[in-house]
Amino acid sequence: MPLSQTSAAHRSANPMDYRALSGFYDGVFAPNGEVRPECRSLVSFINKTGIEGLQSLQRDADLSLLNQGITFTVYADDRGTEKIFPFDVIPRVITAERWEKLTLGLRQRLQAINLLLQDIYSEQRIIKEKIIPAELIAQSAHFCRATMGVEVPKGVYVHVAGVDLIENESGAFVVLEDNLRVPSGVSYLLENRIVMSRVLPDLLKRHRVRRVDHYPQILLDALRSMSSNSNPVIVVLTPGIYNSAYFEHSYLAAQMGVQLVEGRDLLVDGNHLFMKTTSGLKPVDVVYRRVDDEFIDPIAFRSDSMLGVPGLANAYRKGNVILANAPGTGVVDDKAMYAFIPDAIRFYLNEEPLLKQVPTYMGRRSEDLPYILSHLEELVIKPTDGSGGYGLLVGSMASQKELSDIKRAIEQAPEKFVAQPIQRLSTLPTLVGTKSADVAPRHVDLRPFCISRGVDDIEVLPGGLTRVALRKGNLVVNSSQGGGSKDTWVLQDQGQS
Amino acid sequence: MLSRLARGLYDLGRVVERAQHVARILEVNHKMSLERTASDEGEIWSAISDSFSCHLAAPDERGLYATLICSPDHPYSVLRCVAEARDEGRSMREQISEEMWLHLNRTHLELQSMTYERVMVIGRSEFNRRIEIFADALHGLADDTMIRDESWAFLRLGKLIERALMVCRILDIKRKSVASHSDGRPVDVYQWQALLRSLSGYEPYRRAYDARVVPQRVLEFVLQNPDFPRSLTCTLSDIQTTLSFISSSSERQANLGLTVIELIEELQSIDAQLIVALGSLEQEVNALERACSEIEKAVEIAYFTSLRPSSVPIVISPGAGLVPQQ
Repeated sequence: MPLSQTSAAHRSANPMDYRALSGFYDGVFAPNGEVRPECRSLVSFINKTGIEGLQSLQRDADLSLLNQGITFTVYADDRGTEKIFPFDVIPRVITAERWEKLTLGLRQRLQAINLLLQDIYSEQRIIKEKIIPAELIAQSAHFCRATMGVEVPKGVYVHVAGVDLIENESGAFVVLEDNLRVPSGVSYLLENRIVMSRVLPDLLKRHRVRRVDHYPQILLDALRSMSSNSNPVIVVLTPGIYNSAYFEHSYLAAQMGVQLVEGRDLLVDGNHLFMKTTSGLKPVDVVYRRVDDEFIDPIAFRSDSMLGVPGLANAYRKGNVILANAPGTGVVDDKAMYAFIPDAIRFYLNEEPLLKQVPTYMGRRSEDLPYILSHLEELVIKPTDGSGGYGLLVGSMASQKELSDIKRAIEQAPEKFVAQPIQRLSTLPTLVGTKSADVAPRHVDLRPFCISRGVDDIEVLPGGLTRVALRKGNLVVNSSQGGGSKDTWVLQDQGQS
Repeated sequence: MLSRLARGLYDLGRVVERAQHVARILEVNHKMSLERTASDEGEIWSAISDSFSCHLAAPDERGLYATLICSPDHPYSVLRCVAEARDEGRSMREQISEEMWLHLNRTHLELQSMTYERVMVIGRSEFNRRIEIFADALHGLADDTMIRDESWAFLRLGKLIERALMVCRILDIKRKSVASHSDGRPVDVYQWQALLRSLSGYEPYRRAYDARVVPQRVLEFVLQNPDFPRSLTCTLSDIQTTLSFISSSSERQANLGLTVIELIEELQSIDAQLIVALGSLEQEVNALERACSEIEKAVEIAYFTSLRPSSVPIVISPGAGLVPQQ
């Protein structure tokens, strides 16, 4: 019996006795219960394979990830800090047409974001014209004085962005967060594909999926193109092995064939950056840094930082070293600034935004604050300067105590919070349960990775990290909150090779 | 290569070699103590305690095991050395071979919950044997699975520097035991035998000479034998060879090799017979220990710690007025 949504009695035997949740977009089933055309092959494969077959594939995939030590760190967990990133063997399929539309929207958005950053750190026209309130920038924890007036190569501030998107009830992609500082997750995306090609090679081949494995090459080329040196020395700067994304840092360095360094491997002399090697000091031209702004230079930023390089900000201001991403990009991925990105798109590009985004109520706005405080249970409350899902509260899932705590916190410092309506994240069939397994709908988001070589030369990797909330009903997909991931299959256009 | 990585490999080599020597020293003296009187036994343990700065009020075997095997802080504690080795390995997975990493990680998992009581349950000798095998296997894997590049050379350099220092230390421990018998009793053959055993050298010694343990011969063997891997001369020649795998780009680095060669030459000119006749072992051992520590320091300066900015950077202010005013 084909995969269907009929209420069959023999639940356990048929993997795809699957019930999509009403009121949510499902990536495989249309509301009328029919399988979306691009997913037919996937569904028939799942039905043929059966639950036990899927479980066996899942075990193969898990083992493959375990052996390679593809792990991340959960900070809330004091003991064994290394965990395997949970992976779901059922892929997500996205048609060429939908992807093309999404790509155009992302390019437009990042073009505007790079122009906005250039403006904020030079003339500040957008403030003078009162499109964006000055205090939003002046009070931002991520505004970086050291970047003020620096001319960055090709006008690129955000070399790598990992924009978080969700699908709304009608399946349109909606931007949730921009992630312009040091977005992570691309190594999982690449490894997921490797695992899938090992576990389900035939299915992958049948789908004519666009490749993602050239990402390190795109990144390396973009970093190289930023330097005026014809053969620049590039390094990846990591906070070290205790960072949650250390695996990714070492993975990318190895894949790009460049040195992975820590702050203590570098020094600045005469406003030039060097790495300390056994054969003396070696100059460094480009730093792909995976260390947050406030830690990169203990002289210019946090003096207690052991991760950075004293004098790096000077070398940067002198134009002797390129930092990717530029310091201070966080001023724009601030959750309050997010609300103004559509205005920035209109202001700089004179275009209407192609991508939707979530309405945002800002604690700092006197007209929004009463609404936030009286509708906490219907909102997602986010600290403006948080990331990775830390400090985020979903009103409908919160306890009374949590609600009264957050209420007090908002009343004390309203400008530090924004609120958004709880989003109806789309679902995908996911293999759940260990003893009595089942294929059930779970909520997902999507983080595509975008690399800027120039303000209007932006490449979007055809894929992206699909994160899935493995717990039933959970709407938070962050890995730090117990989420997992799926491989994302962007299909080739009919004419594309 | 990056100084930090070179240092990490060097330290890895050192702590693994260290764990092995400490385990072997304790083992050899434990065996000896089984056949000696209580008063003599105290001397051995206090010599070891002094030499490793254990600061024990009344040094005995139990106290030394608690410190030199199980302490989480003492720099010579075997369990600490193994934990450190695994940490170094973890932060340099790409530098060492997969086989070495698995070996380090397995040993770490096996030993991470080890306590003094559990060592006693396993048995001292069995525990020490495992540590010796761990170290031998790791160095064997390094030689058989690593590319012979600078990473390998720094790992090996660490092992050899630690070995040179340990040979001096073992001589020093025995020198104290031997010296304490200067009241006219015959020189204790067993102490000299223990010296050889502490370097796994008793069997090779017998092969080189014969079963008679003669102080002069023992000294010659430990200090001057060119072919026994744990003699001081052989260790220093290995250091010299290892340095040739490492690119030398500064004067300091070039001088390092010369210092090692000079020390080898000095060692060859030592007259063991004279030392025994004059009772000057203490001075000789002290001088050698100093020379080896100087090489140790020279390595650190030449490769790991000499790179500093010529001036301290100060903040360049982006200038006022550019920050948006409210």
